[in-house]
Amino acid sequence: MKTLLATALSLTIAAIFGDMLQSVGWVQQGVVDLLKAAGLTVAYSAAASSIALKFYKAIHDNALGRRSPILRWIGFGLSILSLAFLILGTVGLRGVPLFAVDIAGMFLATGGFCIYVYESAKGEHRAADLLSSIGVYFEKFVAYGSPFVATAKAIDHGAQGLFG
Amino acid sequence: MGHRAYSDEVTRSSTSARAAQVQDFPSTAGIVSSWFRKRYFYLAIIMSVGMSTAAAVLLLDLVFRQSGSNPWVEVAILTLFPFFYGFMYLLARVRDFYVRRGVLHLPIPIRRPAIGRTWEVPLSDVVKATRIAHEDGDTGVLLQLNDGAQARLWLGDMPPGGRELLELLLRKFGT
Repeated sequence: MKTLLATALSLTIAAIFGDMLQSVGWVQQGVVDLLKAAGLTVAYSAAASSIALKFYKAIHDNALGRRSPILRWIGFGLSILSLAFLILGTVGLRGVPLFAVDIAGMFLATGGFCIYVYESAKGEHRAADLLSSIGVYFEKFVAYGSPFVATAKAIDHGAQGLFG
Repeated sequence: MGHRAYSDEVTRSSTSARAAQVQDFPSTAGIVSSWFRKRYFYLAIIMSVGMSTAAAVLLLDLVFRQSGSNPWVEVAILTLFPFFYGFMYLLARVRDFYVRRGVLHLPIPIRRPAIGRTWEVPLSDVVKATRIAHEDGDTGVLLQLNDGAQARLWLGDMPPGGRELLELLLRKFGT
């Protein structure tokens, strides 16, 4: 799962930079299209399965009457959801729908970031993080990085005139 | 019958007496507003309105085909929305935990036979408390209520001083 998500995230970033490089003629359109197609497939499957897993954990904790882990799962889940929106938005959308998806992606990424940061700053979470493996660093990478990626993607779409 | 009624009365007054010994938590100096306690509920509403607007735009474009966008991409994005609304439903239920005037205000609601879903449980309804633990290391107390319902209090959901409150509940209601 983490490998899939890491691949999806790196392909997203590669697709964004590919778009930028293609606009100044440094790489061919075919390369960018290939990156986008690969990113789309991997991101959709990774995001859908990751969100489903986080959703299951949140429901499990909810059934146990636990509050804190739910919020953290939701924050991370929203960040993943925003990345899925962004990657899906790079293929085949134009005009108002693309603008709506980009805004929704930024909205989700910011919401997920705020919830994740607020919740993970609590003492009991920090204590649990000390015992955790690389998973926490990956969660932080996604939660902290998604607002910047979302904003960069929206700016890129605007610069290409895809909203109009 | 009379003996049963007397026994119930004794049990109720005994439980009320134990409940009265539980102080407000966190202390009254740290009371926050109702708006702040329900902050996640309001956040869920705001995010749901924003995302519903995006979903409406995608649905309208899917029907009227105005933008020339790939419809399968729009369908793929729309399939992710149920997850979002699921997260928002869970988020909207979350509240801060506190105890005021002998009433527990739970972080997540429980369902009781008589009144349905509620965040509030009077300590006088508690008949038994048992220590519980979660696989991730969090500890808590399982409260058995007089109508057969259960409420779980977890240390991870409490502000500083929660451990002392849980120990107090175990001392008062523990078996």
